Amino acid sequence: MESRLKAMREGRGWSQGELARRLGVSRQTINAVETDKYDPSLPLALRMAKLFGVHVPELFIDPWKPEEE
Amino acid sequence: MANDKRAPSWCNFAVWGAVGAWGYILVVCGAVAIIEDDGLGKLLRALPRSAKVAAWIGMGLVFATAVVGFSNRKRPVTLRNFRNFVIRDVTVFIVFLLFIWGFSALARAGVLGALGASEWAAAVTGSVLVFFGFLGGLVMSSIHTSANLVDYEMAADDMRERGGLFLCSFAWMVAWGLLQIGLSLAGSGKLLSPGAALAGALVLIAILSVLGIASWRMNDELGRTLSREAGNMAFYLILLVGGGWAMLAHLGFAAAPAPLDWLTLFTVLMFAASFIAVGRRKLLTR
Repeated sequence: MESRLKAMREGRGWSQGELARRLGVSRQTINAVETDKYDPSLPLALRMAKLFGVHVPELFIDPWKPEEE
Repeated sequence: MANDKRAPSWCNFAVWGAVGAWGYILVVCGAVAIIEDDGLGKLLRALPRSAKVAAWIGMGLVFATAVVGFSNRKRPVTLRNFRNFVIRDVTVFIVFLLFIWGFSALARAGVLGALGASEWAAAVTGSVLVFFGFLGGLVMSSIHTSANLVDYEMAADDMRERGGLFLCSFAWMVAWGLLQIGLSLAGSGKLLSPGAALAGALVLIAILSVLGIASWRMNDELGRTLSREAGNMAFYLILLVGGGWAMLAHLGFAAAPAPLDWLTLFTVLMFAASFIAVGRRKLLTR
């Protein structure tokens, strides 16, 4: 899954540590999500979206498309 | 103006590989000199005569060069990194050699009773855990001083912020290592009586439980996910290795694993699974 977290974070001028503190997770978790090494849980993804004021699909891009009938 | 050009990885590989080769030579020389009287002289005399000894030493040298070079290929060659590498790795090897020397001396003197292969394997595995636990503690305490042994400032910051978690993890490793060592020295006619060993083991298991729960609570979701993945992986590795061994023993192709072998197997495979789980997510590389 492609993450746009880094762009959003940098847009706010926050460091990884600052974002981690706001979300209550470790900096390694933020780094792993930004580098696509870890897909966050649904609660964490929702918290991230809420923090940036966007919807989850704007933050994480999944290339999967449903088959057309 | 700061020069932010980084050396190519092959250059780092060459330099760190050379450091690894020299380290290997020093360790081999130190080990044979410590373990046996005139061990170094014997080794040097055997090298030109025995192709087998030369091949083993040469293979070890190539392996040490490749492992150190490859694992440090992204690590810039700076004085500080070199100093950290030497302090950390030399400490590990010196303590490890001292342990082997002490254990061999005690075994030769008959203080430890009859030690079989299972006991040796358990003791060595336990001591490796104790060393790495202490080394982790040493590195962690160094970040609060000017002797900072962590190469990357961001990693040092992480360790400062999550000091409790790291401390619990290193303490857990030391306690588990002590459990392995204690059990390897226990039994009838050995250094520890079974009753004393059981009492010690129960205390250590209680400490391990408290540390394990504390670590789980201090971890965030990435840490817990990795822990679960490592648990799954360890189950299949134990099934494969332990199950395979039991099958071969049942069919008479191998000696049956001793109870202590199972404990050592669990320990080794648990840590192997942790590395695989972290490595699969490419979290071992920067």
